Amino acid sequence: MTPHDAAFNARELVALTRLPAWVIAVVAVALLVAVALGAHATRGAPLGVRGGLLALRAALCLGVLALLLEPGLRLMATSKEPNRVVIAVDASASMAEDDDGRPRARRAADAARALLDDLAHRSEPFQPELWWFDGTARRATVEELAAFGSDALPPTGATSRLAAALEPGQGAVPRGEGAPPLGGMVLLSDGADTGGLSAALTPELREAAARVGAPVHTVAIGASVSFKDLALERVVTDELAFVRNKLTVEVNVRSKGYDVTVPLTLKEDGRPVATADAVVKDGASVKATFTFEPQRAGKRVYTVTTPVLADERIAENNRVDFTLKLIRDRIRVLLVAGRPSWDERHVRRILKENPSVDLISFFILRSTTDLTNAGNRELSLIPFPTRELFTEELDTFDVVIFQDFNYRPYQMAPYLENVKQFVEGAGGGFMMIGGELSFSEGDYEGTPIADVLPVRLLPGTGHTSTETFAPLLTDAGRSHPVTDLGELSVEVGAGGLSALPPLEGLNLVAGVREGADVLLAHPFLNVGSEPAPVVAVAEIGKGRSMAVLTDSTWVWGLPHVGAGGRGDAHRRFFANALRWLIRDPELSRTRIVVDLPDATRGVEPGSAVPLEVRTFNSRYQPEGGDKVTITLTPLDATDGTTPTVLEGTTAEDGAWRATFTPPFAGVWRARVDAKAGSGDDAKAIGSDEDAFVVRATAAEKLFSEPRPDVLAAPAAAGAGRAVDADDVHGLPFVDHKIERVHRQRTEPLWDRAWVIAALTALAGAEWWWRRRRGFA
Amino acid sequence: MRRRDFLLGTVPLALAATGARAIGPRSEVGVGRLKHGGAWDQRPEALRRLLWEAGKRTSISVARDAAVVSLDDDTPEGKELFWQPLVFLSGEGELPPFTARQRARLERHLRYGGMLVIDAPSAADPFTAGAKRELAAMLPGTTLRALDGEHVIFKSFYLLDGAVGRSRDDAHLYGVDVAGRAAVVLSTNDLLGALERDRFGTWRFDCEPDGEAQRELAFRLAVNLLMYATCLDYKEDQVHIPFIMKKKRR
Repeated sequence: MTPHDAAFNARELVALTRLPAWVIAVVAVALLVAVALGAHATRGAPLGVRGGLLALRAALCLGVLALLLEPGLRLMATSKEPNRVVIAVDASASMAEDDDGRPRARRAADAARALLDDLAHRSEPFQPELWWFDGTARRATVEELAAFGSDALPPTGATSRLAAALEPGQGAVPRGEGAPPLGGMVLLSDGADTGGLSAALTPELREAAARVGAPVHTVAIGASVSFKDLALERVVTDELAFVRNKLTVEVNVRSKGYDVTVPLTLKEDGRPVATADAVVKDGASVKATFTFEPQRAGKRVYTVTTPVLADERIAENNRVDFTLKLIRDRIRVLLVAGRPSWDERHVRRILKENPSVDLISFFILRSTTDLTNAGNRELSLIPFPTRELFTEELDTFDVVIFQDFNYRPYQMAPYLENVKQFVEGAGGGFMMIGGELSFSEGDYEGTPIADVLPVRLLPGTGHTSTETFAPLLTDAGRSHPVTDLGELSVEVGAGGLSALPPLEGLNLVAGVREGADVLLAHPFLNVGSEPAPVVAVAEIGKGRSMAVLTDSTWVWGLPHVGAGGRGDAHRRFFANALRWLIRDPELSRTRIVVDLPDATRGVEPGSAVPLEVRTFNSRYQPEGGDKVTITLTPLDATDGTTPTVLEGTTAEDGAWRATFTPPFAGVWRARVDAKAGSGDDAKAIGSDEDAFVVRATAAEKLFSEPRPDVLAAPAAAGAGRAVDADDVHGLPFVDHKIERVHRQRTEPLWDRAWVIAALTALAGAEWWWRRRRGFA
Repeated sequence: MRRRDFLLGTVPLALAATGARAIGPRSEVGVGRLKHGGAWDQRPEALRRLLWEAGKRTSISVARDAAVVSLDDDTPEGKELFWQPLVFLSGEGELPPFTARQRARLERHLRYGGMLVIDAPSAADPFTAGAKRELAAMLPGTTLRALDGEHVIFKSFYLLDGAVGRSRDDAHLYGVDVAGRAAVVLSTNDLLGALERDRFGTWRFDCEPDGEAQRELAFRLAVNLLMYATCLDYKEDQVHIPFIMKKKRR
């Protein structure tokens, strides 16, 4: 029998009138007036007569009113609406864990079946509904549940998110009016939530649990088994950090089965940078904090490790890798000037006023031949700490500037090799500014400094020119960021930087080194067949070097103002130079981006890593057609591992995109080299590097410890119970007592002859009695 | 690095460089002598003497003589103004008011990195009032404040206790700060008077009250001013502070 065939089992009285309410109200008032008039007209009559007449009139009025309302009888066939009980089973990979010979999935399936059986035997109408959840929630069937419990359908979800089952509209929780009533939820899980859920619920999840409107019960799977493990759970730090600023890295260390103090080590690119101890307690998570000052900018790979203890279930989660982008908050510059001068003064002023520069400067204020007429105590002179500067402190600088400085009087010869290594090996920036103590005049020919200069020095001294000249922008200089002097650079067509005051004096050199670029050249002095360099730059190993072969660029400042200019060319020139020397990423013509959803924590094993390379032409515009080579090297690899090389050509938008699936886990560095042109004519555009982490084991595997404490939290927030798998009977659910009407029929009660007759009889009786007693 | 470690084993500056010259006149450190409508040339040899002394006492490569500059923009001296980052304004008696255009040029010079040293014969001389009037008109909103003995000018090369000149009526210098530096410095002790020699090498003025010892201090102050103009607040860098404190305590 369908619901439509069901017998009527409920009825109710209804009004069928279609008259508007105000008409009914007017008639009701009129009838009240009629009763009142009747009472007034029968004054003085015996009480029985008066009462009888008023009763007759009132009954007549009520009858008329009922006639207007058109009473009817609604007959209904109804049934009780069953309440959904959502049984959500964790299908993440951690449920495949085998605890003392019985996989968690089987335990969960058994518990779910027990629940189904329990619900089937209840007197209240509860309708069980099976769901899976891992990263998301989806419906399940009884057959799938059976397969889940027999290993035919193994749990494979890459993540566990208990919240997935609770999110309205996304998971099993109904949303909106008309949705079937929810009698309750039961989450069956090991509690190993990789979505960041902890025993302390987020306010959003607490609210979501409360909004379910029915009890949320949790069933802990595998809670009772013995599980010993130490896990580095979570790294908390900023995605960006500043070099030479204190950086705090927090790591959550979770212990299951251990009460010990464990040492932790933080490594940067494989080099230990900080250590910490964590006092762990069984079943608790403690925070270990590392504080250190990173020294080098760029993408750095960090690794936190702790020793594997005896009987640990999972060794892989004793290590966590993450990447951090370290940027300079300030460029640390060492300026050594051989004597005070207007050039030195203007360079110092520019550097001091630049908020991004941390300047350490040493000026030689007195030479051996100077006669001060004063004792040392009357002078403010200090020693020149060459050893500290050029041994211990050198690698703390980003850029070293020798301005009109001769090293010889300070016994600095042993330290010049350090400066060379600072540039070539450590990637530092070096600038030499001209004057009668610089370049060949400073006796640098044949020293390690000469090896890192963009120019080749002449032997001996006396290689200077005192001519006044307007330097020429070379082809390289026109597009190079160092000589991007705004609108002044545009005036090259007029014969160089003619809008700027002319320079005066030049250090002469033998030429430029191979691979160096001359940005500004002398208009009439030549070196061989080429114009003499005025400003030259070069990539030297990992670092960069710049030669300014004059001590008169200061005239681009104040004297330019006197000539009506803005006077900012000098400032801009040095600001550009610093940015170029430190390899400011914004000035790189080749850039690689490893775009990961969670760059800090890396990717799961087997995931494809998206790589994007962008190249720019000399005018820093995307052009396309550039040959790109990406070399992917595993930093943890043992000897003999061959890097993976990907090659391509940039499209018109200057980009080339590729994906790479790392063959094994670990830290990978992606280096891109780009060239414009092809064959022998190919010219290097530049290179760039990025790094990423491929986690050794899926998070589901790393953090598979049963967490009944995590399961207790949503149960508490959802007014439910947190129980074990063996204790699922009798969980309370809500019967919303909602009845569904399947069929109904309405029968009018007023359109019957006896109703009219009764009213007529009432009116006649009242009229007759009133007339008989002599009332009007 | 600890301060003590930083200092240990350093090479004394006294074992320093040999003298040197710049490559080209514009690379030499010179000074400008500001020509104005008043008695601007009362100490014609003083700045040449200062440059000579600075070249002898310090590693600065100095120009042979001061350059005459003016605030007019259509004369060779006017065009020279912005080539001289350090300009001396001296005189005696009334200082005729600058024109608005002249004030604008000097203000532009100072705001873009220039430095003006005003040397008055005394605080009571009308030149002092005239100079203050021009400063007020040229740099409205700024304050001429006393530079105490801790100012970097008094330790930029020599360690000095205060200001002197041909007289020592006022131990203070006075300054106007522009962009964090003393762009204007006023002396009322006739500093250039102490440096002035005639062509025969004779000092033109006696220094009162301490004679030649005072003249030496005046030279030291003048050298310090030149050193401040070229090195700015170098001596206020952190690395210098413990040394200077130690020397001053002795």
